[in-house]
Amino acid sequence: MKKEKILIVDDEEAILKMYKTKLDQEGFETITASGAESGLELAKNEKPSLIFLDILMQNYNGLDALKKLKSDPATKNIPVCILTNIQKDGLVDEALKIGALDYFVKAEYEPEKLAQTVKELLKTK
Amino acid sequence: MKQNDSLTRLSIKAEYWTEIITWAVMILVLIFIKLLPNSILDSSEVYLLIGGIVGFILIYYLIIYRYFTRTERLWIKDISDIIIISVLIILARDYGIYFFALYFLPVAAATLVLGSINSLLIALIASLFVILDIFLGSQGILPSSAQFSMSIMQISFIILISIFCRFLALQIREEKHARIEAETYAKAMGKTEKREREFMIMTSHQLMTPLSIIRGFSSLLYTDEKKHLDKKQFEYSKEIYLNTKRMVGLVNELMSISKMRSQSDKFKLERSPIGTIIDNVMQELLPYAKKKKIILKYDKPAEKIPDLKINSVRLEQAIYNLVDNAIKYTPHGSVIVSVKKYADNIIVSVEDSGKGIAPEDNDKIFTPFFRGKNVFQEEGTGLGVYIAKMIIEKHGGRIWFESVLEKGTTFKFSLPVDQAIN
Repeated sequence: MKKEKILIVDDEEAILKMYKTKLDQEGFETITASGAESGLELAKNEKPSLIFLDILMQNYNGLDALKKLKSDPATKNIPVCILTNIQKDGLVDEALKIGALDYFVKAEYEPEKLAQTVKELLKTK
Repeated sequence: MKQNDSLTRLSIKAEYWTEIITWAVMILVLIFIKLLPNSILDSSEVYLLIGGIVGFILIYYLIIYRYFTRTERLWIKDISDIIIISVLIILARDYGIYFFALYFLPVAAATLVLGSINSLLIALIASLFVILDIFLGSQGILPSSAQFSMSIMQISFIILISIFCRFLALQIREEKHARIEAETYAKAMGKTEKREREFMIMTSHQLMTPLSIIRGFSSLLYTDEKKHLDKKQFEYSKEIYLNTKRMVGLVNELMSISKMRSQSDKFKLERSPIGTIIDNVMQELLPYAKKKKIILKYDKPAEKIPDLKINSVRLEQAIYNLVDNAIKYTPHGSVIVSVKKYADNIIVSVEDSGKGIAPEDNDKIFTPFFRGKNVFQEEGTGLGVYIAKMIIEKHGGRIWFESVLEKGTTFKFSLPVDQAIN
């Protein structure tokens, strides 16, 4: 059976490693990008089933990356979830307005919880 | 500090321009008198007088302005104004009532910097005094303007009006400064608040990133299904995990405080039974109480307590903080939680038999980060009671306590009955 591909875009290598470890254990094929530009490239080439995108990345705002993903015909149908530690009023609404599927706070989402969430999201896809 | 400096500069600037305009008008009046037909002044006298005024201005700014306080300067300026005005009146004595009005010009002109409305007000009052002078003159009470002479009575009258107008101008200026100060302060506070909020968001983010990593990896260890860890390693990873989780909670608390303090952070209220909230807190804190060998008890009320329209997450947080503190500061004995309906309020109390609060600390208990001297050795942040107070007050309630040192403390809070849904 073909594994579902999950892309995580975050400039913290440790975060990528942490979530990848658990998601791989749970049977997903996790691909990671440590920058928004490489993330956009991977999204276009690999066509993942789900993307997790950080907001505050070096030299790049995740919301801008989200806009690009949603405006590109090759990637606009891929569900994107924001996975960040920024908790600011209005940011959730802004992300959802651009086209994010959901908004998660990393500090509240341990690898186990994220893996469960991925399963639920892919079920309802 | 920078803000105070800018306000002081603003005040000095206004004072500076007021004086400049006053003196400039005085010199213009003097020149005007010189240009009148049959003027009693010759050119050398005009130059002498203008020189005298300019000389005084220089002395004022080089010496008086630097070495005297603002109040002293204003007194010196008042006296000099009166002397100069009196000289102008003497010089214009042959020209009747029209020149009598001239001395109001400097005062009215000085108020121009205060705005046209205030300037008009002062000019109007000054005019009323002139009318009064004409009236008194026509009645023979004062020497008439037509036979203008520098009687002692008229000089006194002029000085009185001058001081009054001056006082009024200063008062209006002070009020204007106070208003500007208040507006500037409000603007500065708004900006500061926004900056603080942004700072808190960024601080939270910077803290949360490493915490997320520690929490995530420790949870991977702690929940490792293949049990690669021995007993000790498992315990350690569990401690790391639980404490990081706690730390995440603390950062979230600080964020909550920041939100509650900086904006009208309205709670989402929904119907919830307060008993369930207390039960949850009891369940969460029972292991802690057991560990400390403290009796933790919830005295359930005999009467039915109606469900309340509350934010159950926040209220649970408030009760948790109070009960957690009670257990923490009780070396032995008990912590009893009770709830009752009293008149128009529902009152929750958390009673302990602990260390109590020193009377000198009573006023500081609800201050953020405050920790009593007798409990300083205990672990804690000093935020628990403060957050509880914020939450209770956000619900329209009130919180207070009674305490006897070394006997125990009872924290109580009330929620208004209109929060209840029957």
